[in-house]
Amino acid sequence: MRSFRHKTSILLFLLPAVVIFIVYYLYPVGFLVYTSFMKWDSITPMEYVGWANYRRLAEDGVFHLALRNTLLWGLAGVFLHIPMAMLVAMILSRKIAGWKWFRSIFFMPNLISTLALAMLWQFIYNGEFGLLNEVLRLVGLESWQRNWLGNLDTAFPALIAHWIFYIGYYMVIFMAHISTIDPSLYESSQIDGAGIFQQERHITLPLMKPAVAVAVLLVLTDTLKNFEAPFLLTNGGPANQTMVMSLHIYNRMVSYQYGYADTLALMLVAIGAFMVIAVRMLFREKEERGG
Amino acid sequence: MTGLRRQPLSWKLFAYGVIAFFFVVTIVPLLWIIIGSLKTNNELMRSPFTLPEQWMFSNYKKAYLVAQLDQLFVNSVIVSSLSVLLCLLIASMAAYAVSQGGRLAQFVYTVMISGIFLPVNSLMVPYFLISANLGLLNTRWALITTYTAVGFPLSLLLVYGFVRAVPKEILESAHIDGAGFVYTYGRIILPLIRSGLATVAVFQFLLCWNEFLYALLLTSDHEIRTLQVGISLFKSQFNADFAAMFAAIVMSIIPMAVLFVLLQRHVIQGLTQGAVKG
Repeated sequence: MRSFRHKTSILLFLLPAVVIFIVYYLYPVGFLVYTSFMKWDSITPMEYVGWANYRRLAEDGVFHLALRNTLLWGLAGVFLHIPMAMLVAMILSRKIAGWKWFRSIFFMPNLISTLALAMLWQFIYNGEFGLLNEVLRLVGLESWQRNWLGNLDTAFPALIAHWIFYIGYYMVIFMAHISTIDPSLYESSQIDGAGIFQQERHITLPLMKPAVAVAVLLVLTDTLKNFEAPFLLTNGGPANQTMVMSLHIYNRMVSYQYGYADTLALMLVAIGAFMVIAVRMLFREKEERGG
Repeated sequence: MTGLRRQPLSWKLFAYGVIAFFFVVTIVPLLWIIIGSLKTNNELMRSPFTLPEQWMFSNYKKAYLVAQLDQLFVNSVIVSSLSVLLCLLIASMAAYAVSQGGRLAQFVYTVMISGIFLPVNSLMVPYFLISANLGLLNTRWALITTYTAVGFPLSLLLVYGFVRAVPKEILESAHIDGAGFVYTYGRIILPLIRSGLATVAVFQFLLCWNEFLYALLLTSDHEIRTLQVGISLFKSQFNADFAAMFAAIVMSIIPMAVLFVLLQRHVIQGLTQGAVKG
């Protein structure tokens, strides 16, 4: 009898969570699939249009730019952001003078909203009184000055650069992992005459593989969500050069193309799922080979 | 990592060079905007890189009034706090249930935490419609419920880690003493994972406080507008009064900076836990 009551209690305690998960996760994804076959402006009833929305994806140049930029942002995350975070984590983990202070300072930007940071960088990139142009003038590179966010060539790199050096989040994750490494490994290799660079290369890096796998996953899912900076700084422009997936979905939604917006959204979900599976497989294979 | 006191000079130069670079790119923009917020607009345009000739603390007063920061703060605090409470309640109940349940509960748990990897920005249309159908559109509850749902998978993952760490003997002896399911949850589990819950609360609070997209989509009245939506409107509100806008941006950052100084331990502990378990 108590076993039955025990089970009922478990069920009741799980219920709110399960309801939330069904309403806010399962149902919405199913909804995206369903409406991706519809033409729908949210006011008049849906109309079944078959694969029309998917065919539109192939022709939609803005989608191609959004996809390219979202993926480029992800690559910048994996191949620039994470390695920089790792480097700083390795340095601070050697307890250089003031390491705790630096850890706090580098982490701080992660508490500031992406929106406030975007606002701040808007002024740094400003063509008239921006900090970046002012720095260039001080070091005698006047010819480099420009309106960074209005220029076709610099707008997207500038957008990535506004975020790429705020490495604090991954730095803290990596430092946490490094602190679990047995110090005797370093001590014995030091006796064997290994320098610091060799130690980091041959001891720290191999042991950090699981942490790197998590960080790569997190940075990729995070870049898929980029919205605030392009929305506020460039609104996708100039000429859609800074368009990203989330902003494209938003723009289609606010122009009442709900069916197409959901098709784009489904692509984003699919990319996310693909990335998770790819990263998991990549790192599992590496571990097996390496181990 | 001790016993490495003797570090070669080349390494030291390299290490401090790297740290100096990141220090500059982190600190200079922040300092620049703080200094800029204390200048006149004229001076900001003329010489953006010097200390103010005249310290314009009045920019802050002006910014506070123009941006209606008090209202924005109140709204953000209400939305974030309620969502934190709701999220912690649901996540801790579920985590406790999973820890007591069998294979099926474990499976449900695994499925639910996979939601961490779903890019929630893709669910704009569905989330909008859910709020509309629940009659919550343009109310604070639209944001409270949506943020609870968005933060729920990560909160569950973290809370479950803490619940699992509670020693089995404590639960067994409670059971022998006749403590029921609900009593054990409320009187034994919750107090024992208190510091863990604080960590999760900090994370959920950050998520709510900094969220912008859904605040933009789900609310429109300026009485319930959150801080982030408010910031996005600074451009039109302040027009060309950049110095005052700088002041408004600085003020919008201050609460989080203060919170971080107070709760740094929890934030870093939470990240560490999440990373090691994830």
